[in-house]
Amino acid sequence: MSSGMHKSSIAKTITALFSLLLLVIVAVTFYEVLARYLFKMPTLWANELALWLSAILYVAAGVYAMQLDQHLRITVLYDASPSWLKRVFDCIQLICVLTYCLAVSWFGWPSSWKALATWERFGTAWNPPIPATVKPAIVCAALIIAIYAIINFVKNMRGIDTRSRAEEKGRVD
Amino acid sequence: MSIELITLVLVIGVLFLMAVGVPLAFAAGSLAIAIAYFNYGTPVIAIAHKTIYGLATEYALLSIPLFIFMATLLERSRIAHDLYDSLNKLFGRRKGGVMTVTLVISIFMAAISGIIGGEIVLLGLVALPQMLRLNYDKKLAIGVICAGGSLGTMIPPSIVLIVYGLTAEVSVHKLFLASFVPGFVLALAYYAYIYIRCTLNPNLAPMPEEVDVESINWKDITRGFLPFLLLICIVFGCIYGGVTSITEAAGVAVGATLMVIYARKELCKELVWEALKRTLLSCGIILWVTFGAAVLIGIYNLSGGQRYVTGFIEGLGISPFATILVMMLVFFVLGLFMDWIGILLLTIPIFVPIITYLGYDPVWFGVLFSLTMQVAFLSPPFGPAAFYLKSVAPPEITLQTIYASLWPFMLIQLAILMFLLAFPGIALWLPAALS
Repeated sequence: MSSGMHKSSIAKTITALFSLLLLVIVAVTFYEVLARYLFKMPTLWANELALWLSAILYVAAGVYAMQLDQHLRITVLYDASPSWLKRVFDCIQLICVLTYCLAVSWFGWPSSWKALATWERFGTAWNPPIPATVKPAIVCAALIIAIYAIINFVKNMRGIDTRSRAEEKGRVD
Repeated sequence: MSIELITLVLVIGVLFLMAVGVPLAFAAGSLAIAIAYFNYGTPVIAIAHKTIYGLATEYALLSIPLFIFMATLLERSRIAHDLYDSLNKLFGRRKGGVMTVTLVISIFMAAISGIIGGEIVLLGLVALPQMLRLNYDKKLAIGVICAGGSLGTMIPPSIVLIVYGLTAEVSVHKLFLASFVPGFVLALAYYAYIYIRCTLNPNLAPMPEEVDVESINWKDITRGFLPFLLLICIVFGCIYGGVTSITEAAGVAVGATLMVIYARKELCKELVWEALKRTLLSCGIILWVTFGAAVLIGIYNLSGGQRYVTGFIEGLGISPFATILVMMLVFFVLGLFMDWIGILLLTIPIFVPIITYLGYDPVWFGVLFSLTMQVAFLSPPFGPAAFYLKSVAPPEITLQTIYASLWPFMLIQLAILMFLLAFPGIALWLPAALS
């Protein structure tokens, strides 16, 4: 159990490391504005680099929110429900996440693969390979989110089990 | 499937899935996939991936994580506490002193941060205990904190307006200009309300007996006021000066915030790392809801949803103004139990084309939306402002007490909303004058 906890926190930290991209984005944007107004030398690459990194950041952010099980939801009815109903709700939730994420990755894969294989570029002045990297990244993120949906689902099932057992025990005592 | 059936399935589907606790991002996304599959078959499902990619590579979207990062950095620095102390020395001895301080600091913070939550938590930790200690009227104190703390999304830079601008395809610059006056009018109205209540009944905010209030000194100014003024000047200068795009303004503002925190000798690895992680989480929540809702709206409009809703509203035979009122009503009802981002992403893509078709200005409608969300932040049963305050308030302050304190402020918000409905010029003269 404890090693499992440890593993999951390592995975979270790895995802969290993507937030460092924000610092790079800030530095790049700051540099661009300075270069443009102080030195009258706008760069070609700054905004496009910021855009590229931000796309990667968003994709990773979705995985992070899923790892922490913090995606925006209304839990009032869920919290008030008995444990058997919570299981039903959990199943519905799992089906929804899997439908969406697997559809995004399965049907997004052909165009992503094409972008990656041809190293498709953004078609701008600096021309970074944004499609070639971001498209496959979305496919990967959707898959990872689907995997975490299953992990969270199993955890929840166990949690509901132990909690309801504890409740029953409390009642008996 | 007919468009009527699709509309029905979507509305009931989203409400049902949200009610049973499915995250909005996946509720919207999976419904979109289902509709696409049953209506068109598998090839259309590829739209989902395409939509996400399109949104992720939208430069203006980048201002959202940047402004969130700035707000979370400021929350973790003691800069707001210092500003509070300085303002307290300035206004502490006046009528309703701490309430004035609370309101002024809310405006200051709203002018550099575009989210709610952090401000309310901070004021709940700093201002509420002091007001309770001084025997201020509990309800008035709570109301000021929740209403003032929600101003962040009304006064620019506001995440609500940025997302609105992207969704409705109107200029975020113009939205920021248009919301400037209504935002400050709202803040002034809160102040007027406090002032009148305290004048009529001085017992609501008794003067502190002990004279512990020192006069303001140079250190307060450099640590409390100057950094805030500097950041506000940078944010407003970049945005209104038209020197940079909103995204660049946000980037520069974050850089300046980091420098201010460094100059205050607070910059450390933990502070930045915590703020980064928090931003990543907020970003994941907001953006994936945006992705899911965009996919849903994309599929819906592909099925002719936009035309259907426009036709439906035309068929009602009500006047254009009544149409706007109906939309406001929809916002309020959804606002009772949904977050602003869900309401915005699911309704605005449908409503704004109708607004434009009726000959109204979508910029004005954006400010109206932002105002209705101010009400939604306070309205029970799920007003987020109340939950934020409850999370830091002393235990004797229950959610019931908080909600009971908020209705006068909701009435003020509604009054301002009426004014704005009747006189669109309040919002629109500034963008018109400067363009």
